Amino acid sequence: MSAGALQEDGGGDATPAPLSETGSWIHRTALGVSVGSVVPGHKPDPAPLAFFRALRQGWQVRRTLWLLVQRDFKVRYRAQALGLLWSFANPLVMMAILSIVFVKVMKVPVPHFPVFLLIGQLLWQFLNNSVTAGTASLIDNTQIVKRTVYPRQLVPIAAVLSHLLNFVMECLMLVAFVVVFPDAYRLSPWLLFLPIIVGIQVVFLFGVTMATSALNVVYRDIFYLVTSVLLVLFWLTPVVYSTDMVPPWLQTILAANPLTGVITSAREIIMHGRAPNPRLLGTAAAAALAVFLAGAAVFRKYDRVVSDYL
Amino acid sequence: MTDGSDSTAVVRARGLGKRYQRLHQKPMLFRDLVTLGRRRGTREDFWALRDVSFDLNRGETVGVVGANGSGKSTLLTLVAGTSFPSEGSVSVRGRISLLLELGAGFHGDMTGIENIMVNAAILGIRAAEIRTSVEEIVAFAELEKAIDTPVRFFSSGMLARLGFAIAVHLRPNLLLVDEVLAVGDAAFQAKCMRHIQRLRDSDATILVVSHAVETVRQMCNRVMWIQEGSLRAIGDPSTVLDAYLADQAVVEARAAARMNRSAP
Repeated sequence: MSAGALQEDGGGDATPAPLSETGSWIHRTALGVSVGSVVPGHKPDPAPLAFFRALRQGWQVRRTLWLLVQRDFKVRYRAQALGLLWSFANPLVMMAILSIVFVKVMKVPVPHFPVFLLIGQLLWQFLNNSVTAGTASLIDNTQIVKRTVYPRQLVPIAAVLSHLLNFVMECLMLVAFVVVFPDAYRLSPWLLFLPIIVGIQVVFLFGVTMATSALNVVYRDIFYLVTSVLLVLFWLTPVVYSTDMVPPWLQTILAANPLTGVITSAREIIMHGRAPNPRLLGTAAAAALAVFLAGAAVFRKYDRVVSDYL
Repeated sequence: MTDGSDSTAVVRARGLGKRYQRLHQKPMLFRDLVTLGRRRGTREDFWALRDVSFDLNRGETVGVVGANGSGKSTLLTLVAGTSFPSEGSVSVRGRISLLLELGAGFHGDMTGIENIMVNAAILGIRAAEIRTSVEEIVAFAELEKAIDTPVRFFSSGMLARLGFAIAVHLRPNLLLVDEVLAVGDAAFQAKCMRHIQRLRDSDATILVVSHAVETVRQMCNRVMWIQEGSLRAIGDPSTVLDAYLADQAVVEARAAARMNRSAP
């Protein structure tokens, strides 16, 4: 490495990178991008492939992605004196108030309601924050999106990942509550399954934010639509209740929401040490995958016009 | 990859066109859903660029001239890949570095160093190479003291110097420059010109959009003249530039005549 560096210095810092290193031609047509030999292929990559190409390039530029995630993370808390503490305060206050209302006032018969609620609350906040930030991400990063060339899928992806980082840190609270509610937790090997469950939600969030971020650039009213939908979705997600409390016909509707499977399974594992319901989790995974594919397709469709509208 | 021209071409445009929609109303999802996109009379298309074909070869410095609004910057964004063609194709290869207006491509909340890292990584440059480049960039931009400050607090001169330093130090195969050669004071400008000279001597391709005809004449091997979105001429600098200047003179004379006529 040092020899190479020396040679570079000796050769002058203006020497362009060897062409072979950067490889093949990149063709851009009205249909999209294709990579290959001299002749433009007029068939752009299908949407999932475009996503994985973006992901592969994202891996190659993972330091950048990390920088973007970090910056997002830092900027979010730099302005506030208590910084990261807000991240903990918000769910804690919500947990305290909702617990009092649901246990003392409404007399909800759920054992260990605070922990039950916290699990739902954390996963919901992760979704809520990611979708809100992800939807605005392309517009928030106008300067970088308009002036640099890299797979733009990385912008909403980075937004989701930075909130995943937040989520993981907030989960420390869940661990800390073992001290307060020791009976609410069950230790089991199924705990190792939790990352997969969170992974299902992340795939879902990638899909949602790819679609909404791109659409939001063209149709600026999407952001308001999204915030309204989130408001409704909160009550269609078993955050403050559990699925077995609702009538069967509603259960079917709830199951289509990937977050239903995610939250219910997480509670089963953490609070009961039981295996997650494979049908429920399978439905969630399938729905998340469908949303992901749709989101990738929407993004690819609008990617080409994004910089014209910004 | 068989004939000779393929191995030296770095940029290839074929029948390139870009259409913009002049929108008289901002698109709204609900309105579009209700009218199913049939919004007659609310938008008109216009071609910022149409049917442009050319090759740029390795080691060439090519100038782009044309009146305001003729499509020069559109051409640059298409070659850079920040916008997509509406028809035809544009193909590029190698590492592309983009030098646009002030502060473009920087993120205000990130420090100078962080912005360098992001810009470098986006170009696909490896960590080892970035480390050697960072010091050069900071030294070249003369920003040793400010580099750990968020670029939001940079003056316009500092932003311009950082932008130029990054663009030329990441060893691009293709450098795209839009009207920003007039950065900083005279000493820094001279430094920039020397550096561009070195870059072109070392086989990089440079595409310069500029109104400064004399600078273009000195720097470039070839010149493109774009008029109302079409490629009017491409070739030897003095031939194209003289034609361009003659045309400009005619336009100016006509404008002057109109002024005289309308004057009392």
